[in-house]
Amino acid sequence: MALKRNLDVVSITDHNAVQHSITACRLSKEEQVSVIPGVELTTREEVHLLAYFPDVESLLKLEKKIDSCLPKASNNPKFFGHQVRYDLSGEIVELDSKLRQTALDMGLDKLVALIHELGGLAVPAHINKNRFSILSQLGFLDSEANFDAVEISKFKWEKESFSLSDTLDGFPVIAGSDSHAVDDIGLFFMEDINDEICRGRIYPTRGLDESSPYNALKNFLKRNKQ
Amino acid sequence: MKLSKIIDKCKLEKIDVCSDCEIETGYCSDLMSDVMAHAAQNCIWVTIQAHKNSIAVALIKDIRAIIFTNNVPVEPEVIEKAKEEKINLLRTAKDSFTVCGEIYGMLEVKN
Repeated sequence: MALKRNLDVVSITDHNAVQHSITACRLSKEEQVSVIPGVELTTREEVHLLAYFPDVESLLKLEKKIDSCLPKASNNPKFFGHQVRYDLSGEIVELDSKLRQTALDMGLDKLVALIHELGGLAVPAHINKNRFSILSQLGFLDSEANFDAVEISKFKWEKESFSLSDTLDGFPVIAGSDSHAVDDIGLFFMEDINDEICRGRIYPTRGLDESSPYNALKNFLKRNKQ
Repeated sequence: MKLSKIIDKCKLEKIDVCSDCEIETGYCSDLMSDVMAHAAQNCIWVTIQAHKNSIAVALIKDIRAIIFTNNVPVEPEVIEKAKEEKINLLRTAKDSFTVCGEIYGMLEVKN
């Protein structure tokens, strides 16, 4: 779908789950689309926190840490559906029984530090929404906080005509499509007007080279943080 | 009612106690926006939200004491900030429902 809608760079960020993000990264190696490994974590304060990584290995290291912070309860498919894992060819390979639709037993600040330790970017998700956002849960954005960017909803992005170099309270702003189904992918996207992030796309992500979209994004956000 | 009496009766762990202030009422919530909208001055706040921002909210609302329930971990920087701002921090293994019940009973009897 990302190819069909002509996207250059995407990231799959499931809730507290990394395996499909990794599958997407592996699939992209043969394709003209770059995939940044990522995940959407729920902190102890019930704040949704996006994390992006330079490589699959770092994301796997994070998975080990977060899986030990999940509650000792099983997923109830009646409420949340089955958590089915697919392989590269689209075959079902596993039913994940861990309860992932809930908060990790680790606080926001600790998770941000852990993401940075593993070389990743930490971005509070949909901060303008009144559910599971840093503003709804923790009241306000601490300008001293160590976030690499903040994410706003696609609605706010479009309504207020945001662009990639904008900031909010000193933090660079990004927005995601919040796609929860395949058909949603690419209906919303951020435009990389000055080719800041996509220029590395001609040589799709193959590790840590400076031109990879992840590094381009990281450097771009760093330059824009006030 | 004096804070020390509440600490004593509810067997609260003292993380940081800097003043024996007068507690007139209480509030229980884990959402900062809700606390900012509804908590009264000089109340004792019962919550599981042990984040640095909790201290800032307490400061804004003139809340002099916070009880962290369910034994949530409290990071050193939270304690440091509370000391700086002279906010009393207590903790207990009991859940918020239980602690609120105990304190409500004590304040009711007094009135």
